[in-house]
Amino acid sequence: MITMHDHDLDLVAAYAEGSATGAEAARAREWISSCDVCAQELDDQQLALASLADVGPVVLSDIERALLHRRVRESIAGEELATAPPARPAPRSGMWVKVLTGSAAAVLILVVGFGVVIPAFTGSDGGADFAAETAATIAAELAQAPSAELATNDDSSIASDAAGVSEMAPPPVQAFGDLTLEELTVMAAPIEMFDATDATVAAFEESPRDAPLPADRMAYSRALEEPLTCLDEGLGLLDGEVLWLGIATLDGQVIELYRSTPTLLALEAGTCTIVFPTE
Amino acid sequence: MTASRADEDSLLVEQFLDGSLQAFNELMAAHEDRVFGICLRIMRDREAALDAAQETFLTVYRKAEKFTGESAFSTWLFRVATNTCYDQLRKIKRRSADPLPEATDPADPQSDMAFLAVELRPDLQRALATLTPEFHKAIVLADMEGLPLQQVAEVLGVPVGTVKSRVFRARKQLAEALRNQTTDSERRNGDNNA
Repeated sequence: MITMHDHDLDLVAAYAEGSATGAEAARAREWISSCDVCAQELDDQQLALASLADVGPVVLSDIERALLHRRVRESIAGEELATAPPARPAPRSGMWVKVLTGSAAAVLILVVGFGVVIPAFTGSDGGADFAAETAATIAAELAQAPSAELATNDDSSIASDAAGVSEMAPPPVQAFGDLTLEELTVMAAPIEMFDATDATVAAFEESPRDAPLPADRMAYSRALEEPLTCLDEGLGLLDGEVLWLGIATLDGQVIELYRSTPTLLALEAGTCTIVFPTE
Repeated sequence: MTASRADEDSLLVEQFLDGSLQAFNELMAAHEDRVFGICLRIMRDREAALDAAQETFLTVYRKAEKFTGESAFSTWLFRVATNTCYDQLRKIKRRSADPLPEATDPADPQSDMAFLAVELRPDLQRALATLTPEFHKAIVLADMEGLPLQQVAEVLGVPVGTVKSRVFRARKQLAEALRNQTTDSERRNGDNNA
């Protein structure tokens, strides 16, 4: 079939792949030693296969996986809403009373300076009213994601233009430039603490600037420009500057991260339940 | 793909068609890495691949009833993914004079995150970009994703013999493109040294 001459180049390909049987391999070797076309074809096949052999399996990162799930979930939910009867439940107004009240309390209680964690609030209605079963089931799946992984800008030369950060719409990734690297590090550090024991919290309190964000946790991605649900859902109503930091996972939960001066807010992505500061 | 996976997929498809979103989620979880892998090989850009994977699963959600069960669910899914990717590439082509996403944005050299490390070498990216869509699909599915030739044939809707032929010729073209790049590079170095 592939032959351009008398020899079966399928067999040459199989020999290059290593899938030829003993007898086939012997026959292929014989051809290759006496046939320039076969030898050239073998070289080509082996070069291509060797190049492709370096290609590892592709795996979604935690963040990409979360984004994929969210986008699918939201598209499905949107379609369901579009086809559903008009009287759908209103989105979580009760929860946002908790969010706003709790955040105000947190701001009062928190240590002034670079955000050290203390108390706050928890819980919500669990998002049961969020676009029906779709969100709930996929959120449950999201909760199975691996451990915390913070994604943020890897640009260390960050400017200090604060324009636009308090707008309702999430800022584009370039707006990460509104932070200094020091601020970013300090604000991200609490996420690190969730990976460790409470002892880490104490260490952080003693020396917040010694809690760097490991380089391997920092990955720029255009995907991070994806609008974040919780900002749309009401964080933008908070007094003061609210700056989107990114998305991460925490104890297997996908969370959204915001800076709400002077601390960090982390909300479970599916339900917008505040998971940091902790109670 | 194991028989049990195929059986499990069939069951999940049935459950999904009966209204179980959990079943859809399980199908997605079982195949999302592979679908993303295929999309990344074709789109050559993680963001574009994510978009294509999203569209793939939405298509599955919307059109699952069109899955007849004559082939494995994964085969149907990969066909949807492949078609979605090429649809999106065509849209990109229409929107831009640049025919394909640039293949020069591989791993961030500052990052050692494993998920970025699977990006292709730039020379291999460029060589793959020279392949026709038919050859590219064949080599992506067979050599990069490691699907059996029979399944590749079902995904592409062509006989196995055609797949063999395409894979063989794709490798040949790939090798030639790689060699040409080496030659060009050596020539440039020679010019610079002269």
